Amino acid sequence: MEAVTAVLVDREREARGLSPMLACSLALHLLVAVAVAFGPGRWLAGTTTQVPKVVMSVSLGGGRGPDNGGSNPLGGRPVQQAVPAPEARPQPVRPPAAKTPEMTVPVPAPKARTKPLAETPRSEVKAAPEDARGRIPTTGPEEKFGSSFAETGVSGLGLGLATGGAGTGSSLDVGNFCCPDYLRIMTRRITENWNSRQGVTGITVMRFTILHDGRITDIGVEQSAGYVLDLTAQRALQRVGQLPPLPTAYTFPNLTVYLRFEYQR
Amino acid sequence: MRTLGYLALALQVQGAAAPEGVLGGNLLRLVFRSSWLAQFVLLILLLFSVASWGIILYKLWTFRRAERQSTTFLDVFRKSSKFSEVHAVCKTLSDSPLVGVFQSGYAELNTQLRQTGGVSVTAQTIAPGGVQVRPTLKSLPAVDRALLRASTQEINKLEERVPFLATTASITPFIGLFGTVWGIISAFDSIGQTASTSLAVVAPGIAEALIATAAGLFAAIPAVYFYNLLAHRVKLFATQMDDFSLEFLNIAERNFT
Repeated sequence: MEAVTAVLVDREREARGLSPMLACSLALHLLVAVAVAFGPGRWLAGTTTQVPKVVMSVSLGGGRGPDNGGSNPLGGRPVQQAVPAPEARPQPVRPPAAKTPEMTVPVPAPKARTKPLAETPRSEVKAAPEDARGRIPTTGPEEKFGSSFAETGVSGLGLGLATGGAGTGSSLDVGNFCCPDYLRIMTRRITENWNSRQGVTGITVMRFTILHDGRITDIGVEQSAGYVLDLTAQRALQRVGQLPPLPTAYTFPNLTVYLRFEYQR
Repeated sequence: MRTLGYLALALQVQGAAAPEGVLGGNLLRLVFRSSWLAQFVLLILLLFSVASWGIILYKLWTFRRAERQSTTFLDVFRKSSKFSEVHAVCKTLSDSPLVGVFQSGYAELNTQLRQTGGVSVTAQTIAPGGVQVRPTLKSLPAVDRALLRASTQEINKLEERVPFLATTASITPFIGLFGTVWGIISAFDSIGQTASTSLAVVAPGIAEALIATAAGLFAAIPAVYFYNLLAHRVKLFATQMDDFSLEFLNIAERNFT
């Protein structure tokens, strides 16, 4: 063989070291996999991995809104707010009027000296009819609604969603729960069975689970407000007993609800 | 109208079905839950990634050694006055590509000088000072050809397995994309079957499917970077060898013609 070729053939063999490096690479990949699998989630996903527990909160302050037949926010505005009737103020005791002496010369009433005012021309500008003016609602013993309801055909949520109208002070945060309509039914059924007036104030938080077929189970007190109030809330839930089945759009097997009963005097 | 008490409500989605974050530590669970095709795609991507990282580490290690030994070799070559001295060092510096070029040229020189004068180059000096019998080369282009052969071979050796990185860089995103498209097809299929468009049905399938694309990119990005880096360094080695060949030829021409 030619000398140069011999040198080339000799040089052709590859330096060793590929297999150790492949093993090294494999170990590196395993390490990364283990770190991803068992490391804290916030390495990869920041702090957003915590799923917020409360996905929805509803509060019903003030009066109850129309359950359906959505009202126009302006038309449905209450014209009279409910205010407890003021207590009758005691009238001061008045002494009887002094008797006029019988024998007196009647004094003629003084003549009016004012001149009659010149007739002022009436303004050409016509004021808007009383009904059309936006005004602060008056107050009275009961709640009254305006006369100009507009039937939009929209079904309200009944949770005070028609906030421009009757449900003053209500708020609703549906979050990512799929079916607020179901909640409307649920809260209505519960409030129908709940006696909110117990003569004392307090807040009871109840926890229960709605199974897929609508049964209410696992009723428990999450935050107590005394035996009687807890019992009233629990009875309201027990009386409801059966709700409509959970909507099909809600894919999880059951739904746990934390319900806050706030008693007012 | 009856005034209701204040009522507030909070709902909680409960149980194991609660959507946990994909990246919240159960990425592996998601992988194991996915279809066999998705797992197969991920396995292929894993193999590609392991192989390409192995090659990257191996090549970086080899090139580092080659560079160091080349520097040492050039030092020795320029300081010594005899080719035989340089040739003696070659065995310890065998990782340098310049050594291959030198050995090849040296072998060709030796062959030619033996044929002409019967005197080996090992007895000759590079410096013309102490030369008694001046041996001459038969053909300088033959030496050049020998150097060229060696240089080509060394470049091939340096480039070996580097194209795999280019392959990885271009193929793995497509493989990952294939896995994703397949996963999305089955996700839509499941939407059709359950007749529900809720995110809870669609999202896990899509998240599962997207893992494949992520894995493809994970394999491809380092491969692209290191392919460019290694290709550039091979080019540097090639110019260094060309430079050395010319230097070698100059010395040979000066002393043996």
